[in-house]
Amino acid sequence: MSRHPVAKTFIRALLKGFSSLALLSWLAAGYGSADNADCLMCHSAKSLHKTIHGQKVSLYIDSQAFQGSVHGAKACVDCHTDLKGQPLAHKPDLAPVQCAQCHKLAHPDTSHRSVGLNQGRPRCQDCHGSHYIRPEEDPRSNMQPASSEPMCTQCHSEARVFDPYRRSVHGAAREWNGARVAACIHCHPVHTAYVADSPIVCGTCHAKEFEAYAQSSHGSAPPGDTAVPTCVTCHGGHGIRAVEDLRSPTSPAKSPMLCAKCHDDPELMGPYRLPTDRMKTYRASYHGIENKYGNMKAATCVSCHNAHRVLPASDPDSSVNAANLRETCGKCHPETGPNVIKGSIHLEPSPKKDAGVYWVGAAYRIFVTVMILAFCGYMALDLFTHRRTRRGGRS
Amino acid sequence: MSQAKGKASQGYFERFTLNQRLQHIVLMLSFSLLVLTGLPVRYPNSPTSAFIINLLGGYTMRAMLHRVGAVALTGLCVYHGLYSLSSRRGRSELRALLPAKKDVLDLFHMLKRYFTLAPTGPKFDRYNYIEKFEYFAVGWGSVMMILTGLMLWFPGQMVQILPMWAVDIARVVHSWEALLAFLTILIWHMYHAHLKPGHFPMNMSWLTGKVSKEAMMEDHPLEYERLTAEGKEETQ
Repeated sequence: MSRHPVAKTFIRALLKGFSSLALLSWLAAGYGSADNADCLMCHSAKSLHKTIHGQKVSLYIDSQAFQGSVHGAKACVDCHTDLKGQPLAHKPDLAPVQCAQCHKLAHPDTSHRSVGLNQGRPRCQDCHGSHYIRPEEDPRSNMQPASSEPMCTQCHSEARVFDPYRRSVHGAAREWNGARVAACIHCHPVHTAYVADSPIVCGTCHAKEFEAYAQSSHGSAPPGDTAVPTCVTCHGGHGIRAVEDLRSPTSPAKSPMLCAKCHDDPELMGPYRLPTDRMKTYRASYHGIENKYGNMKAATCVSCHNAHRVLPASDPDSSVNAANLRETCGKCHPETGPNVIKGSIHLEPSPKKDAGVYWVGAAYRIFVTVMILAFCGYMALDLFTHRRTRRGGRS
Repeated sequence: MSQAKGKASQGYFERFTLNQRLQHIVLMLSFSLLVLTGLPVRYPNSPTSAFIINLLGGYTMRAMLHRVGAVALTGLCVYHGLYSLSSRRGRSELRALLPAKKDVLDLFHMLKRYFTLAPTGPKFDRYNYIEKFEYFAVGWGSVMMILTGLMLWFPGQMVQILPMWAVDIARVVHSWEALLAFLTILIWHMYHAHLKPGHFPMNMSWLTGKVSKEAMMEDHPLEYERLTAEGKEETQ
């Protein structure tokens, strides 16, 4: 039997048309009834992409990785809600996924809220990831401290933050007992605060120092008193160096200047009625001179007053209280006798205070001046007499 | 007198023995070291102080060298005390150095001459009032510096006995005595031993120990007369 060529063509066209029709009707069925397999028909193709601003953006979904993620049991349309009711061949640009649909306001990200919506405010998925979010305890999770640095640097790439951080004790001490410490998110608790309350934040790891600080004049100031220093005031933020590092503001090479920054300022010290000549009197002391010329063993402010547990001398718990002075001096001078309390440490020679030092100094000033003037006067007379007698020889 | 034995040949008298000259050299060296390493502490803000401290190799080295100088000076003082009290030569020198009424009269005589009220100056013996003053000034200064220096070296032990303010006063005394000693040597000693007309560049007897007959007659006529009266003329 020979087929008529026209009939042949007709049948072919009919078959083609039918199949196309079937495909179309199926595609038009919409996502309402579609499952993830439907989406993956297209999105499992590694080459699938779209172009945004001339850049290729992959639309490929690794279904295995997705199933291993915390959202693995979810349907695509659970998050991509705007696909509901759309045909499989959906519109090209989907609305951003709103995590807050499920994750209500459990984690309002107040820290990034200051960034304008159109100025690149990060969305949840910028930090958490999108399709492959892992459980928090998974070592590969973005929420692991180790991941925070590459994550934060996507936006916070400023050299002024990260270069000092990488050179700091925290940047160097990546691991402690096998765990990553002092990463970005340890100090900057995400979602809650942009600039952390440093004593609380630092105290989570540095508990001993926090306790000492909390008991100190600085740490126990009323909450409204913003003039008192916190951890970062002295230690700095990102570029914290070890006390032994002479570049550190807390090192013996620099700490006197650090304390003097506030304690030499009459405006700052006024409300507390504290003297503002402490640096001057320290520099006049032997300790101060040793320190100035680089003897790093010499006592600085913190050697006697403590770094964290600074208390006024009137406080019986203070390291510079008369009752504790012998012990404090004894840290360097173990032989220190009990009479160390009979006198001042920061000498202010005047007729009223440290009068002995004042009067002895005053008497010597006159004595030395008179002696030198007498010497010069005698020498002048001697020289003049030699000239007058023209002897030019011995007197 | 024992110095008669020190009479030397070729018209010279021996003024200082080798022992005495060595004592003077140790004093000079330790004093210079102490001034160099000590004055920067009195003037900590001076650029010169910074230069000296850096030159010495830093503050710790400065402090160590100062203590080396202090031990040397203290050792010398102890030795000199024993020398002056126990050796014949030392005792006779001490006697010659003791202040006498003549020294006060000599000073007034000299002042008269300076104001043209006397035709000539006073006649001096072995040590004139300037030399005596300098000797006891060095002695007094050394004792003060050693005592206050020890207080500053061991402040912890000091406050077992003395009050803290005593250590602070010791520092004031140490500092001012140091300045006085430095200026006295710089002005007074330099003038009388080096710059005084007829002495430049220096009176060599601190090195040679000798003094010429001419200088003897000029500077120490009473000693010269006494020695020659004893028939102990120097040989030419």
